[in-house]
Amino acid sequence: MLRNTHEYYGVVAQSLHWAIVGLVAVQVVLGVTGADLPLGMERLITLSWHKSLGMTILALMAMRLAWRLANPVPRLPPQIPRLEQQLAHSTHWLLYGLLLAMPLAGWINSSASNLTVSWFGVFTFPDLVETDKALATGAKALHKAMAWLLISVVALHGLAALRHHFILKDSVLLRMLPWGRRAPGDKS
Amino acid sequence: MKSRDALLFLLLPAYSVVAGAECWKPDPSPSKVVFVASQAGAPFEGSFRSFSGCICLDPANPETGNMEINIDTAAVDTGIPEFDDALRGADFFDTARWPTARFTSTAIKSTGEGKYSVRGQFTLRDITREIEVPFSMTPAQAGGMQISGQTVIKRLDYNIGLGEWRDTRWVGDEVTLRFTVALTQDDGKGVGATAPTP
Repeated sequence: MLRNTHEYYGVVAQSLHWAIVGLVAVQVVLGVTGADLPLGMERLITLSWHKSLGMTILALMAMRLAWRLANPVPRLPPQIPRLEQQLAHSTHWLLYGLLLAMPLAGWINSSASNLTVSWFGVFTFPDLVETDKALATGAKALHKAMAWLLISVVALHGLAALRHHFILKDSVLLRMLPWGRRAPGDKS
Repeated sequence: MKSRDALLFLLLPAYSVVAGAECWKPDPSPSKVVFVASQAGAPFEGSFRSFSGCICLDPANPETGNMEINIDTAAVDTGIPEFDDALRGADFFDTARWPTARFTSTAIKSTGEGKYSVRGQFTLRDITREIEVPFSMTPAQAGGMQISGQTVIKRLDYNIGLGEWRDTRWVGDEVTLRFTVALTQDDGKGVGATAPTP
């Protein structure tokens, strides 16, 4: 149940997947809001939450990567064309890459901006680089560019899952749903 | 008393050399005057690139010593121009109205070999409070002396952070002031130090 099988994602993989979906949704709102605020308490609070949640995502993604490598990956239904299977796998790895790289770019931006990252005020993370205005600007631009790429890839990923569920009527989405195991209509 | 004599009398305490005490002034380049505040529970560090002062201290009779330190608040340097501008603004140092933070000693005592504690009046913006600063003063390897120490103040005691910045949940009240300053013999011509702009 905890571990993946060749047919379904286990509880751990599903929990990590959906927790990160929720956190990323909040992050988009906080990040887009915070980026346009003038220097002030509201920006400090918004971006402090953004940083704490971003570091949480980084930690969860590290666990997720380890879990993925230590578990079987459910097979895609064999009727899916080879090209689509490859596209699906590329998309998944691109999501992993972005979800790991984005917090790191944000962390570098924060360190280079002389703003040490704290985790909800409980503890602080070490600064990755010295204060450097130019580096901060570059890291922030990269962070933003990756944000728009992430939103695009997530849209592709989500629409593909819905296509599998409602048009192709296969088990691809159900594999990632807690109630998927008992759902009817599994054609895989 | 003639008015010229009165003026000399007023100036005398700042430049007087107490018997047995040597007077020193800061040497800018190797020195550091740092503040460590906090944002969102993480330290936020900056420094002041320009300061001056005069320290007269006889290790055998520290109680006869005195010191005055002037910090140019507009020389605040956090490495990020946006923050420096905000700190120079009306909500923080308001450097246009109060360009100098000043410490003037009232009493110095010995607390051990090369260790001292100085009490004095510390002025930030238009508020003056008495603070005590433990410090050490030891011969520097490169010649001259080195003085270093630190103390903690509460920024709101001095109205640093007005308006929304008074909220201490996200910007802590406590600020550590830390200094490591190289001293050279005072030539008696008055003192000044401005670190080169990095």
